[in-house]
Parts: sequence; structure tokens; C-alpha cells
Amino acid sequence: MKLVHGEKKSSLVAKIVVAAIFVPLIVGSFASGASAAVKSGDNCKRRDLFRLEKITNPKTKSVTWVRCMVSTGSSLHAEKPKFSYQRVALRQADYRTTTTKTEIRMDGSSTVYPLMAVAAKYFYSTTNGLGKISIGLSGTGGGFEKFCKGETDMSNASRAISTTEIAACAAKGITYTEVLVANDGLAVVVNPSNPLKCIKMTELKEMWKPATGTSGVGSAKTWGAAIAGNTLGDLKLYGAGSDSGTFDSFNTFVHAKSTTSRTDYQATENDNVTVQGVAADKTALGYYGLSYAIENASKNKALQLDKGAGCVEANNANVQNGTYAMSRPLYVYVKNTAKEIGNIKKFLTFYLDNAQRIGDDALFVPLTAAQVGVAKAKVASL
Amino acid sequence: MTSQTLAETLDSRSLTSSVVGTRQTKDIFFLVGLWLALLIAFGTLITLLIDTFVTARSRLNTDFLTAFPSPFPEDTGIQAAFFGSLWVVVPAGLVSLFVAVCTAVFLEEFVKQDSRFAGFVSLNIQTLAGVPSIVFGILGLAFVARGALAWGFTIRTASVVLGMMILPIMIVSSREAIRAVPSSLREGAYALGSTRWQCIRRQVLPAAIPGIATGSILGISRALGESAPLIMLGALAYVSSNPAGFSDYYTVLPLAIFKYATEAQVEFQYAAAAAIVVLLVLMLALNLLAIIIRDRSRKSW
Repeated sequence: MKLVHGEKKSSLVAKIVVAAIFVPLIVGSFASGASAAVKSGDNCKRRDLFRLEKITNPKTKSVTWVRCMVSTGSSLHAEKPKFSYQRVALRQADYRTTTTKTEIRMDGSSTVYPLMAVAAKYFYSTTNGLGKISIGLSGTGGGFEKFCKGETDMSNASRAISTTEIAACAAKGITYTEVLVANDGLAVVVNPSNPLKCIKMTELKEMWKPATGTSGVGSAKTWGAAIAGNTLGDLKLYGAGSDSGTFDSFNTFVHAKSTTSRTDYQATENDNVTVQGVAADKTALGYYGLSYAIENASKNKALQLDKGAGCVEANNANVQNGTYAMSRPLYVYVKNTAKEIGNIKKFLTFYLDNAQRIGDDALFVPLTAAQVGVAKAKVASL
Repeated sequence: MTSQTLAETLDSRSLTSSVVGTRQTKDIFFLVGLWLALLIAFGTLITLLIDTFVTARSRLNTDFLTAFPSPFPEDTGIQAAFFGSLWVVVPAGLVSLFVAVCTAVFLEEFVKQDSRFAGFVSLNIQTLAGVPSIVFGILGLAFVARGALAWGFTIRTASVVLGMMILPIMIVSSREAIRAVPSSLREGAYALGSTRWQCIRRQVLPAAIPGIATGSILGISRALGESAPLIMLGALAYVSSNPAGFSDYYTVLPLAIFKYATEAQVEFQYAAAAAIVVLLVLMLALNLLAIIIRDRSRKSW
């Protein structure tokens, strides 16, 4: 055995490196489990948002509940939100007392993902770690493929299930219930320096349609070719990749067919690429979810849309009332015979009871009271 | 003739010196070129590392290590991804190590090196070692997650597929290590009356440990940094807890990084950088372990 110079030193370094990774993890996982008794008004951390804690009065033995909520400003998206425990009346939707462990698996649309992730996080906090939910990102079509093979219990979708997918589910004997979970609007965005304020749907169609006889290359090369009298010059287009639900939706809105689109544009599954591209290019035009447009309002300007009855601003209220031309419903599909159906019902009830809060926090357009009512009736019948 | 010869000699001298001159210049250019290549390679790496560490600094704390994934960039963390990676990679590494060492021993010690069978198997293993990882992902999707085994998108599926992926690399390195053991060691053992098994067990394998360990830890590092096949195998974007068994759903560090990096909110980029640092440190720790094992058990013959 040959002793190598410096061996002691290297093993010490290794120990330090390994300790630096593992010690905080182990200490942290123990520390996060223990929670001291809290009372109303106590500060809590952001990660405990929506956590429920039970308070028992030692004299009267009466039980009250506090929940970790945003305490400054009205919104989670305030500059520096503060969190504290606030007294709440325990509702049917609060499953702090759930005794069965939940393990719900869902997959599907990347558009619905942030919404369900926020819901899953709040559900996890509310059930004190019993309600576990895992969410995949296969896209609407990929999600339905797994759902109709019986591999998932819930599928997130940014459009209604298609006829081929209905057939696939039927072939495997899978019955399902469709639940509306939020409204989403698509925004058409341009560079903030672009003088254009409003665009007609017919102009968008001209802009995005593939020329006849070509392999998908568009005919409009300049802004003037699509919008009469526009002198902005070359047209640079950004859009969603053909696997995404956003692509399907946009084409359905513009061309009334989910696969019709010109192909010579910057296609991406990552909306951030479009945000950066449009922000850097004065003659660019792109589209993505309204939630992104609200968040990136300083970099991209969302256009008003005109479907023949005048220009309509891209905002939440217009999406909810349907006057905005590019609004779409977002769904989850639930397998009726899922093993965890009881817990799925609890989760969806929780979701619908808190739809406003969750929709706001995930930057979606929340459901209206009427929509919540319809969805609740569907969940109750599961 | 004499004067001509003199002139010729002079001419040829100047010619020689000019040839030497260009050769030396070429030499210097070559050296400069080499340094430049080194600078480009090393400079890029250092720039990337510094950039990542600076970006990651604000998120590198115990909160980030112990938090679970979150849709909000401020309180997201990598605990689930970290333990997911361990759950997937450790069994994959151990099982492939066992199979790889057995295969290597068989091929090196029990099969005639120049036989057709040995040639055929070696060729196949070397080809497998060069197959892109996504192909293993597709294979796993068709035969492990669905199809014959139908294990679904669980930890054991991912573990088996990653194990298959690193197996050829481990076999190749184990074979090299066993081949490097001097045959005098074997002959000595046989001369003292040991059986084939005793010789392998007590002489060949202990002597080959440094090489086997280095090769397999490098293989495990590769599995740790792999994301393409796991995307096929349904590694999830959001998992609210650590895995508790082999049939649980999971996510892994490279996919956590991928998810952070593709989020629209800028704040997630800091989380991505921090997760990259954790993965880098983990990989460095593994490589360090390989060096230590090699140094500890190095023998000179």
C-alpha cells in the first residue's frame, strides 16, 4: 500500500463538502416538522401560506383555527408581502382533520400547471402535509394520452377533450368528468414603442395564415400586408410551439382550426422567449397567456382585440364575460373510477371554495360565482 | 568552380537559416495557438462558474435546500428533487456495479479473449456505451413503464433505466481495471494452489478496486446529471414531498433546474443557479470520493 501525499487533506475536504450538503438538509427537515403553538396575529413564513393551526383554549376547551395568510396589502403580488396567522372559521373545505393520506397524480397542460401547483401547495399546507399532489407537464395532448391509458387520475387541459381522445378513453373504458377550473385569456403583444393599439381578428388571420401552395410559409411579410395602411415595415412573429395548448388555442381563435398556422415564425414552448424577443424588436408581434402579459406589462404591450364589435381591452373582466375575443376555459378531467376519488373530491371542493384566492395568486382569471356553482355541482356528483 | 561552390555554400547557408527561422516562428505560433485554445476552454468554464455562483448566492441557504417545490419563486426549494435524485441514482448505481463487475470478471477471466463470442459481446457493449441516453428513455417507456413490466412512472422505472444506461460504461471500465492486474499475480495464486474463484476473489478483484471504483463513480455522476430519459419517464415538475418508496412519483435535480430555467418569472433564474451549484457540489463530492478510493487502495507492482 503506497501512501499518497496529501491524502489526509483531500479526505478532509470531502468530509466538509459532504457535510455542507447533508447537515442543513437533515437539520432542516427536522426543524420544519416541529411547529410551536401559534396564536392569531403571529407572523408566519411564506412557505406556510394557507397552513391551518388549531388553538385550544385551556380553560374552556373551545377550539378555534388560525390560517397563515397575506397580512399587508391585498395581494400576494404586493411589493413585499407579509404573512401572519389570522382567525378563520373552519369550513368543509379545510381538511386539517383529514385522516387518510392523499396521493393524487395529475398530468397535462403547462398552462394549467401554475394554477394546480398553487392549489396543490395550499392543499398540502391546509392538510398539514397529508394531501400530497404531484403534477406532470406533458402538455394537454400528452396528458390525455396518459389519462386515457389509465396512468393518471386527473388530466389538466387548456382545451376541451378532442374526439380522437374521447375514442381513446372509451376504448379503455375510462369514464371522466370535466370540471372548469379557471378562465384564461390569450394576449397578442407588441413592442411598447409600437403605435398600434387595437387589432382586428381578420387582420390577425391575414398575418398568421399560411399562403396557399407553399409548405406553410406565410404570405404577409410586412405589417402593411396584413393591416391596410400600416407602415411599420418588416413583420417578425413569435408564437407557441406546435405541441403546446397555447398553439392550438390561438389557431382556433384566429383560423377556427387548431392546426392551421404559418410555420415561418419563432416557435417556442417557453413564453419567456417571446417576451424577450418582442421586448427587443420594435416590429415584432407575439402571443401567450394573459397571465404572462399582465406580469410582463412593462416589456410587452397587449393589444386590444376587435372581433367585429369594437376594440376590447385585454383584462380579467372582459375574459370572464366573454367579450374579449381570445378567452378560453381551462379544465381538469377527473377519472370517475379513480381509486383516490374521495380525496380528489376533497381537493376539488377545496379548490372551488378558494378559487378566487388561488386564481389571483396564480395570475389567472378566476371563475365567476356562477361558474363556481356549476363546477361544485359536478364535483358533488362524482 | 571554387567561387561558384562558395557562392552556392553561402546561398545554401542563408537558405538553411531562413528555414530554421520559419520553423521557429511556426513553433511559436503553435504554442500561442495551444495557449489560446486552453484560454478559450478554461475561460468559458470559469466565466460560467463565476456567473452561476454569483447568481446563486442569494438563494444558497438552508431554506432553499429544505423547501419543497413551489409555484412562487421566493419559497421554492429542492429537497424533493435532492432526495428524488438519491432514490433514483443510488440503487441504479449499486445494481449496475454488481452486474458490471460480474460481467467484466466473466469476460476477462472466463472467456477466451480471441473467441468469436468475446468479440461479439465486446462490440455490443461498446456500441451500447455510445447510444444516446434518450434512446434508453424510449426503451424504458416502452418496456418498463408500459408494456411488459408496466411499472408506471415511478422511481423503480427510472432507477432501472438509468442503471441500464450506465451499465456499459461500468463494464468497460471494470474490464480495463481487471485487465490491468498483472498476470504474475494470478500465476502466483495458482502456483500456491488456489482455485479460480479464490484467485479472483482474493487477488484480482482487490487489485482492480481503484479502477472499478473510479469508473463506476464516473458512471454514477453521469446518471446524476441525466435529464433526457427521465423526461420520457415522467419525472414530475411538482412533487410536494420526499419519496417514501420505490413505487412513488419523483423529480430529480436536473429536471428541477430545467423547470426553474424555463419559468417566465425572472426570480426563478436565481433558484436555477442555486440548484446548479448544489448539483455541481454533489458531482464534485462524488468525483472526490473516486479520487480518495483510488488513492487509498492504489498499489504499485
